[in-house]
Amino acid sequence: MCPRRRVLCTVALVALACSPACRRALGDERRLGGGPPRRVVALTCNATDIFACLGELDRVVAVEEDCPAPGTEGKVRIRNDDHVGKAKALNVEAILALHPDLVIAKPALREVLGPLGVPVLWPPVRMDMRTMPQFVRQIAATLGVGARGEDVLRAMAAKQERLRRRTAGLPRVRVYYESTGLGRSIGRRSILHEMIELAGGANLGAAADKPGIVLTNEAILAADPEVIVLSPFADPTDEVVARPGWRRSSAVRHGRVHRIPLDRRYVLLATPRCVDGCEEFLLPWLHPELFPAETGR
Amino acid sequence: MHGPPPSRALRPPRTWPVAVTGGALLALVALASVGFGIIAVPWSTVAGDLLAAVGLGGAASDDHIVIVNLRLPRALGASCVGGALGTAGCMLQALLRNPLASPTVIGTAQGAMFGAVLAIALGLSRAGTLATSFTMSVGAVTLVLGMARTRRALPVESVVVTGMAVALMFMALARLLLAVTRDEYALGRMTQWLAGGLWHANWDELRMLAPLTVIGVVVACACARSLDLLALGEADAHRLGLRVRRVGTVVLVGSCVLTSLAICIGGMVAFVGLIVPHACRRLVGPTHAVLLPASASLGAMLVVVTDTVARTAVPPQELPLTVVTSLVGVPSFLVILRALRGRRQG
Repeated sequence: MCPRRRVLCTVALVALACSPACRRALGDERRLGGGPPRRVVALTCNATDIFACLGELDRVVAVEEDCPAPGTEGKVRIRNDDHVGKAKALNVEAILALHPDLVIAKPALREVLGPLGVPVLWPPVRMDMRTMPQFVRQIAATLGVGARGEDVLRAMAAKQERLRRRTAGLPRVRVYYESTGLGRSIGRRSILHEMIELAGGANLGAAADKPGIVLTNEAILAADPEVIVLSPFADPTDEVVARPGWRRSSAVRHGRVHRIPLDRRYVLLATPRCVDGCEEFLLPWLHPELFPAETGR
Repeated sequence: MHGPPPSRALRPPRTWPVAVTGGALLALVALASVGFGIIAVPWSTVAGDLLAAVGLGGAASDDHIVIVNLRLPRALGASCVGGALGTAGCMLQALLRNPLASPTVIGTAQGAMFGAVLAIALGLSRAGTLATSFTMSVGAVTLVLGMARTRRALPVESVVVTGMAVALMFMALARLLLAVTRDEYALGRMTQWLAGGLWHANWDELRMLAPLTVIGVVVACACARSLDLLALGEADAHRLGLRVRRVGTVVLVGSCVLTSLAICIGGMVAFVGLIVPHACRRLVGPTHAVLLPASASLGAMLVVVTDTVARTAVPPQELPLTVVTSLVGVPSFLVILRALRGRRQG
């Protein structure tokens, strides 16, 4: 075979090998062993927000239905039991219909997603300040942006250190956090607990060694919270302060009942942006004395 | 000396023609279910993949994972759940001579559900989950019968009311377990289980549970004659030579095993065990030789169809299976209640 013909044949073969039909015929090689994933289904809100932190949200084609991360508008939303107690079915075929080359799902779905031949990344069972950086590194490495992952983590660590320095020596402020209704609060296994501690507060539900806790009305009033932080989905603020006996609490008397804005609720996720939430919301709410200019206004 | 052969009308109905017809219809419905889904797969590809899966065809297609690992286990799981619940309901209705008896009404399903959740919390294996589920199911039915039985009788209303109370108690226990469990992985799995449905059906589970379900249904069909006698009442059955207590225990344990299997495969699925035996009684008559295989087949077909609706109606979401079966079941339940009232007044 003459050299020119050999080159032409090689080019034709390479073009054929790169065609979608050929890749399909060759099976999942592209998905399993190829380059970084380009079609990711992220079934946990934390993972989606980590993609956003890394500036790689374009790769995500579907997110969990309640995912609050900005930039996910218009993406396919797939129902999942991401939140304990929701107990909803997951449509597995809907995931495959999106032809993902990576799925991120919580470990409890291992038996369901394992046999489907799609690469799956499992986050840690418990996402906290200790396990989260490792998961950020894992996602960054999978996407081939390891250096950017380290930058994000360095920035987060610097903010954490700054917060610790600012709140060192300050009295701990008693904080009651309410998620969706009277008494529905957080235990010490919640990322929010760590956020409150970081911002110089003491969580009222810290005695519970689990993510969530339901506190009784009486227990809340007996603890006399100095600051009440409401999630975007908690009862309206005027209804909260009008609850029997609540007007006597320090938080209500001093007008220290605050609500996380609905469009910023992603700061409540276990991702590097939770530290932004501490700086932007919790620190000024818990320690207004650190912001004299704003307090004086 | 043999007498003249019984006339066609008096000949007792046989099990196998109903079983074969029901089985064939179920196979058709299950195949149709495997062909339907969010991902459009040509029928020729579905057939090719199914043949390849059993080693009869050529190479599997790109969609073989969807067909063989996703839809086929769901169809098989749905068949097992429906077949088991239909049979268990039929057995309980005959044993308790109560048209309202079913695994969910008398609390055996809720007992089994609590057992399964407890096994997950304790980190038990699949066999352990089945055993715990079965034990709790038996515990529930024992409690119901013990509380409902008066000195001489087992009043229908008393069984239903006690059953509902026991069912609520076991559901409350399951929720309590959810509230106190600290292991977050176990918590995730328990939540999945309580969601019910067949979206987590997989071959690993079905390899163990599907054969057991088939054996359970076959054993139940073998008890058909005894169930016919039991349906006459304890005194009449005893007079006709039936060891009522022993047979009653076997039937009760059998129904609990089938209920536990259904719960272990697909979680709580309401109304199948209640409405399917009634529908079959209208179709094939009250003789258990035909009623049991008919209930198993129709129950299986009902759950296969409702599961197909659940996974295809509102993509990319999935409807809870029990919601779809309840939408079918509640109107049927009301019709049954109306018919019962009419019979009493008549």
